Amino acid sequence: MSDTSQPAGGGFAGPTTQPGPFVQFGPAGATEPVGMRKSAGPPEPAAGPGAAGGALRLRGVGMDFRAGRRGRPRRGRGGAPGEASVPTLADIDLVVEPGEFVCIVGASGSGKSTLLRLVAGLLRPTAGEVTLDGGPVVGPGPERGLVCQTGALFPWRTAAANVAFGLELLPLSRADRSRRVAWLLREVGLEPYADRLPGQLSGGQRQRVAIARALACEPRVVLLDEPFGALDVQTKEDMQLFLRRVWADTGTTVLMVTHDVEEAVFLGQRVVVLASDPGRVVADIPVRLPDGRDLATRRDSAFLALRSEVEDLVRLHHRAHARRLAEAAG
Amino acid sequence: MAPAPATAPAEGPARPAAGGRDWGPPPRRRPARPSRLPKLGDDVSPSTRWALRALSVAVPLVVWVVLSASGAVDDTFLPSPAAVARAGADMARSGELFSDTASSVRRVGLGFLIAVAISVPLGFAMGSMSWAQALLEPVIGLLRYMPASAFIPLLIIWLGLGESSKIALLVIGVVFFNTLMTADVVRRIPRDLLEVSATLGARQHEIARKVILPYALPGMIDAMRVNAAAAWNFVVVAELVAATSGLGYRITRAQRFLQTDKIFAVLVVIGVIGLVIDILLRVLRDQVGRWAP
Ligand SMILES: Nc1ncnc2c1ncn2[C@@H]1O[C@H](COP(=O)(O)OP(=O)(O)OP(=O)(O)O)[C@@H](O)[C@H]1O
Ligand SMILES: [Mg+2]
Repeated sequence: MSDTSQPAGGGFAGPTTQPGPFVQFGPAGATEPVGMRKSAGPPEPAAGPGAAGGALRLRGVGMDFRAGRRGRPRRGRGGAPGEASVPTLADIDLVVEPGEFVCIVGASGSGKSTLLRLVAGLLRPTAGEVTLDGGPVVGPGPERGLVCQTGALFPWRTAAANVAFGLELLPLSRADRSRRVAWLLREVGLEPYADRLPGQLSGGQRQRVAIARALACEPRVVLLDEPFGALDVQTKEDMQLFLRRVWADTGTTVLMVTHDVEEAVFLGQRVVVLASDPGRVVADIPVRLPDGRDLATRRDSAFLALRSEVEDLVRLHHRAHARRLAEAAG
Repeated sequence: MAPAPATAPAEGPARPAAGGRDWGPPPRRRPARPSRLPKLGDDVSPSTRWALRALSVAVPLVVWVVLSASGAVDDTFLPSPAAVARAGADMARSGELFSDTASSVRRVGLGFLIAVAISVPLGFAMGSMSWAQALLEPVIGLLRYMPASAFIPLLIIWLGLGESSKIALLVIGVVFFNTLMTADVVRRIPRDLLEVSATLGARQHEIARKVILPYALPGMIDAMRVNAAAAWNFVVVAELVAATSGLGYRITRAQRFLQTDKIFAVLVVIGVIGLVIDILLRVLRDQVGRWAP
């Protein structure tokens, strides 16, 4: 990671977002000197819950990694020659309603992961704001669960202990906690593997643990960053059906990033298309398919038409971007 | 089309180069001969492993026996294993071997504990917070290069000839290395683990306790293992210079009377105790770090 990023301060055990402590663990040089970091300004007066409407709202969000901590460009940081001279994300407006399943697609480098990290609170936007139920997002917290491509399981904890991590931080009785963990493991079909270490699980099983772990604190939104990117086609298919079922069972809100258009159309109720340089929303397409999706859905003509439409859009913007790059190069 | 390559490839028929390449296929090597020797990264069977371990002690021992039995080396310089065993038994009978071992072990134990108690928190802070790293690394990096043995005269002036100067030497010899090694281990924690813990609601102190510590513990014990050997060296050095008890002191005494068999016996004891410490720490590490490959 470059030192131009702005990792926000620590986590929160409570359900609301408040500025966290500003001493951030991390490799030396990976973060800015943090000892004297002040809070990033007074918290905005939060609109009351429901006032803004929508569980998750991004308003004019921009992310410029070249910018300094206060949003001003740093001196002597023009960027390498040939590097894009525009921000990574610009002017993103997005609303995700409670209980919705929204997929974000876009070419590599369009800023999908960056967008998700902004929502997770791991980065601070350099413009605009992210709100959850009207309250500004200022740091990572358990009301926004994150699952990344690698799973990022704790290798020394068993599957069950990984799922339990977030719950251990809450004032819950041991019995209550183990009931919840057992339910989650059953939900993700990993009961027999409860006592295995991550190193003894397959890639698909690891992702199931990661999803269960993110769900454990019953977050308002689950953020998934290409969770099935490293899986084979068969496992991926299973996992997609599994994710739909978990979503239906838990009624949680899902914001998922993928580069697989078919996956996005199959899973999402809406598909948001990002274009690169700057990363921006170019389409927000409702997926009008029945909610009970199965493998037959993939052969459905409506599904195929929608999939082609989104694929064409992604391709169009990808080509346009490649052309701009070629022109800029001379 | 590209012109045909001027030189024919070593093997196989020349194919026309495609896509504007004016070179032929790269030369081929003959495949490696099948070999019965173990390959890099192969595991050996437990029986082979134990046989090799036995060999690693037996070969030097045999060389020693042969050298001393052949009379090529004077007994005063290289006593025979039997003489060394006799000397060891004598010292054990008189009790001095045990009292010396006890005082050396006590010094190592105390000094090493103090060094660990200082270096682990420091290293943890340096590895997990870049401000601590910036603050401490220059000074510790500098102090590390000052040989601890060179502090002996100074320590004797400051602290006298008693226990404290020996323990201080041990601490100086171990603390800087262990701090830097601990910091290196802690720093290796994958960023995504820190991030995911924060999104699960962990606060900073919880991340330190429940994520960084368990992740780094096996590596920290590894660092302690390396530095325990150094501590054991330093205690003997300290006792060589100034002491009235301890294994190093016993060596200087024996030297005065040219009792090389005694010196050898003490060296063997020192080596064996060091090995035992190493094995204990390794067992601990394997218990703690079962998850790590
Ligand atoms: N910490 C950072 N510092 C500087 N630039 C960054 C940083 N993180 C990401 N970027 C840049 O932002 C752009 C978007 O990156 P991002 O990882 O969000 O892309 P993505 O859409 O997730 O791509 P992929 O599909 O390959 O994962 C890239 O051009 C990348 O180089
Ligand atoms: Mg990405």
